[in-house]
Amino acid sequence: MMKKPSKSWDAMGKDELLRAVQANQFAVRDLMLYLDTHPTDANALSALMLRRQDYADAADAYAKRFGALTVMHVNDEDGWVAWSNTPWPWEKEAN
Amino acid sequence: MLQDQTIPVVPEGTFPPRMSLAMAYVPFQCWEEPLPEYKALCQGTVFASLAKPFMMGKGGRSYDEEAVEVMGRDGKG
Repeated sequence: MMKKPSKSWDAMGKDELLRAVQANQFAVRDLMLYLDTHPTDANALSALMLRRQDYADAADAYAKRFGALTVMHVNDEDGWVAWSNTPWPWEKEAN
Repeated sequence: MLQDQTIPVVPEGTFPPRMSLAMAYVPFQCWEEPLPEYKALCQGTVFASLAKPFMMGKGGRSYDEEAVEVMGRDGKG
């Protein structure tokens, strides 16, 4: 699939980037529900792939600059200490 | 289906060809271009046809100010 020219994730501020991660993740899950009842719908599948790529890029961009959002995005340079020091989901700063 | 019965005009394929009486049917959803992801997140769905905000104030009731603050005047958040 042709790699879509990636949006300038790096130009986004922290909150905007976090919204992009959340919005794209939501869209992937919602399209998943549609695909469960329309498994052969190619439009739906490509729409999901597109947003899944945006989610991955946005989450990577966020991790690079503000710390990993999920354990899947912890990178070995910062290591585990940095991961456990960033705000936890239930802490005010995380939202 | 009985000859004289009329069913609403719906996109082809959303209802079974033969429908028996006294049964409830939900039309099958067809593909539509998804909303931009930010709007979808606010609406709670990527499909505009499924975005059914609660329309406060209809039926003569006055708007509940606090709800308007959260949901916006048109209930779309």
